[in-house]
Amino acid sequence: MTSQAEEGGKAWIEPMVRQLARPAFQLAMGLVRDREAAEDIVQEAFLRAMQNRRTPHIAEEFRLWLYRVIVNLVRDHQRRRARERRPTLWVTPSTDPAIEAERLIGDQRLAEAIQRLTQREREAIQLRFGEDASYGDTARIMGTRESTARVLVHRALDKLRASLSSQELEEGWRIST
Amino acid sequence: MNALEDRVRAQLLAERQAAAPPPDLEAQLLYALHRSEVPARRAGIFRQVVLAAAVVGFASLVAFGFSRLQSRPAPAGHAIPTASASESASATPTVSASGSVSPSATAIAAARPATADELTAMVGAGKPGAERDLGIRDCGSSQPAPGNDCFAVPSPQRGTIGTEAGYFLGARFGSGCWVYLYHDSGGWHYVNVRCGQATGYAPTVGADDQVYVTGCANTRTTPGLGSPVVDCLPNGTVVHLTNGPAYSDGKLWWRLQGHGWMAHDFLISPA
Repeated sequence: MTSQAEEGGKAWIEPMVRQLARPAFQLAMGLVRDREAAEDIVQEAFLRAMQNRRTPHIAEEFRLWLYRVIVNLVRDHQRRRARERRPTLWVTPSTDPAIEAERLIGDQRLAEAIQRLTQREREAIQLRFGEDASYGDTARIMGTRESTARVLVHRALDKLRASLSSQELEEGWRIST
Repeated sequence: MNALEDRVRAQLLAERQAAAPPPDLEAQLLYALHRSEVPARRAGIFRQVVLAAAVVGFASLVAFGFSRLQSRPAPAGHAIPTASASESASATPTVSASGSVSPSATAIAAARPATADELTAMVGAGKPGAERDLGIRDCGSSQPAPGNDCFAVPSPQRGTIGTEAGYFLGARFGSGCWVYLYHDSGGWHYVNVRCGQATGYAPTVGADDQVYVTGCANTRTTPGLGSPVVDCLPNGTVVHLTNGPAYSDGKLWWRLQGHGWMAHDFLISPA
């Protein structure tokens, strides 16, 4: 007897790919800062989802499960990259010059400050503010407790605040809005 | 605190906009998922082969036992069975130990990846027909994207060659597409196209598919309408494709694991 995930057609994955491929790529891209790596990570995450018999088939549960796999794959990728001592690419060139110019004018100092956060703090920030995840969902995706997720987010915000003077905060916000 | 949170949100949103996913991301993913099913299926075939070998080994031992019994003088009053091992074997159906029907067509080649030249010729012959049937234009230098549903052939190009027939991968926005063709002395000729988000909507070698028919669809020992019928599979039967396509009697044919060959028309989802 085969599980639902092992069935040949695997038709259940189709709407998941349709619904989540792009948000998943953007999450991976936000965490890994490398377009090629983000594509590989998203592909690997969906492959694991399809092959794992415990993968939930309910859309919202699947999303959290997929994002958790992506976060774990990003961590693996960062560890490998640290070993290889490859430089981190924070600024990713956009294909649209207008968007790239806006991004650079908008908040490069903040972008650099986020880059100086620890890996787990960046994950927490990305999930909480980039994905608008609740603290509970942030914790589930990160594989930690909700209280830990809250601490990581608040610690990250403290670090960002310390990195930016109050004047910069005001100027940066005016420019970006 | 809120000002900083809002500023972080705005920054992350801008970065998301800058990190636009590839236009054919879904098609790439579905192709990768489709390809990933092949090793799993091979593992299943390996288990079947091991099981078949075990059965054959057991049968050999039984036959050896019978032959030893026959070679011994029969004790008085004790009758030895008259059915020999070879007779038992001859009564075995023609279905092989692995469960597949023995192919009798020697001209059928195993499916293989298309070469670059073959792909160029197939794409040239198949693209216009696919775009016409799908009712979308060629992407040209653009790529499929929201608001730009057009037909493209992802790079690197991928295709498979069977026997005087083949297929290649295309894409429209949100879907992968398989374009089927046959080949004769005049070159490649378009047959049809199917687009979808997962396997099971159109036949490809190494993947599962399902039968689309009213009543049941015949399978035959070799590709061709004159070939003996092996089975008749009802609508919705899930089958595993092991070879094809082969062009015969004006049709494409696919070999189904354990069933023989079925015409292409019964293995594609309704347009």
